[in-house]
Amino acid sequence: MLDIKELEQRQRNYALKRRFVPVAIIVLVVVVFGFGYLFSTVETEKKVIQKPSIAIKAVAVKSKPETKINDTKPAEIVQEQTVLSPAMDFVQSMKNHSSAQPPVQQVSQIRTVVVQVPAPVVQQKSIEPIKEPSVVVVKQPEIARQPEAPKMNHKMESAPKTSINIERSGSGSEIDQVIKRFQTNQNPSLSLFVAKKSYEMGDYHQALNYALITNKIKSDIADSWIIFAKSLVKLGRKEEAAKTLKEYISFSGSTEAKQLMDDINSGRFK
Amino acid sequence: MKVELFTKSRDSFLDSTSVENYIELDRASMIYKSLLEAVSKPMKMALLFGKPGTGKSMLLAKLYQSMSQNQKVFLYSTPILDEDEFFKVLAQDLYGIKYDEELNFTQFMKIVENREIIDDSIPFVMLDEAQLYLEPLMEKIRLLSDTRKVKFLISLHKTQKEDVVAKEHFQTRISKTIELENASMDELKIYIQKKLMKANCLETATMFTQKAIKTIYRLTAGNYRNTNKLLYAFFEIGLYYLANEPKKIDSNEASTVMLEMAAIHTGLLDA
Repeated sequence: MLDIKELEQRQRNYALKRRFVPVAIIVLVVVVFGFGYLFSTVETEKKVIQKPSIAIKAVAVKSKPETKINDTKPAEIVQEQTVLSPAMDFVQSMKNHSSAQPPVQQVSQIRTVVVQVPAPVVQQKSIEPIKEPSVVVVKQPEIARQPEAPKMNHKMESAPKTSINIERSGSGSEIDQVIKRFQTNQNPSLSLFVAKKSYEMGDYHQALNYALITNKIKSDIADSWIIFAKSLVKLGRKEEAAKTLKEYISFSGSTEAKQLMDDINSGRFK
Repeated sequence: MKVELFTKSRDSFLDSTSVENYIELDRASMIYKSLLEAVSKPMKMALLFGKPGTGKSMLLAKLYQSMSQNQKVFLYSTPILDEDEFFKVLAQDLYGIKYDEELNFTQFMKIVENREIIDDSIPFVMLDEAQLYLEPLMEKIRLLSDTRKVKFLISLHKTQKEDVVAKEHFQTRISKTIELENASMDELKIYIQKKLMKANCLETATMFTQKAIKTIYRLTAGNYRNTNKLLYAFFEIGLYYLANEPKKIDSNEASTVMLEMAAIHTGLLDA
């Protein structure tokens, strides 16, 4: 005897399953392909966005500071624009710190960093003292205060030494952070930042070093050359500064550099 | 009136091997002729195999019916598994010798060998469901066929055993091997419609449109026995609806819902 009601119910379930499965498969396929398409589109966009940063990375790795000063290879001129974006409060605190306290009076931290300074392209023949492997020694944090510590050791001025001791004062921890960041990513904007801040703080040796490093990584940053030349002048190496600027002007035609050249020659900048 | 029509239609799909229910399809007809031709020649053995429900038994029945008028043909639809009984039955049927006592293979072989063939009337023995015979008995059947005084047609399912029989033990003796297969969609349509028309159910025969045939083929894969079972249940359901919910019957086309219900009822669909 047939149980028609039960058969009807079972048939309905079967029909539902039979129709649901292909629909579910189609929906699944559409969803999978849709996601795949979206993902590939996003990936393509990401690649397009990431390309410049990859180029910068490559440049940064390529132009790591080298030990040899007499680097005869011309530094590459890289066109990419890199924007330094430190935290605003950090910049503010740097400014406050540097304006409120003279760098000489408070030496809170002394870093010891061995930086082997590469020679800039235009300095290959003109800057003799840097030809020797000059090592900049910046002492690592020593919490002990040095109340009457000198602003800097001008050992390099007296004679070419194998190392330059820089006792840097001022907003040590903040600038250290930037240096650390620079050591991690070799971003020339960071090294330029360090150079500028060091110059502002009167740490001309460090300013010189970081300007040099910046030039090595990216040789078309005018500010970096200006800081480099200014630091040389401040360190009493006026002739070298003039030669450097002359070389730089010859291939860049920078008006800013020309202005500084005039100021140095006329004695307006000392 | 419609109840009677549905009842007749249902009964036409009763699963039976009666020759009256034999439906002549092109392929089956060709096979039949080929078998008929083979057995009329001097041969030892022929093999008919295929999946269950492909029409082997029906073909044997048809062959038996047409051959029995002219020659000594013996069809054993149910296997005789006991050896002694098997030889006794053969002695009785083939030669009219009745043995009350034990009759072993050696004794039966002597009887066979001593028989003289008159007018080329070699007895023809058809064994259905031969896959059920034990291997020693099958070997003895093979030896009997070697005497050329008995012809055998062995019908069995397409199983591993069949492969052994066909390829090893019987290979050299088998002069004709025929494989039966499930129906194609076109054959299935002809089969269903011929069956219904044979039962004078023209109205129901027209219900099986191409769409309905496609559904049936999907459910049965063209197997004749499964088709019979399915359509029997289909008309059974139809009879229920005629009596209780006549609106559910579509007289123009066999309903897919009813066919699927029938398939669920017969176990062809797992739902």
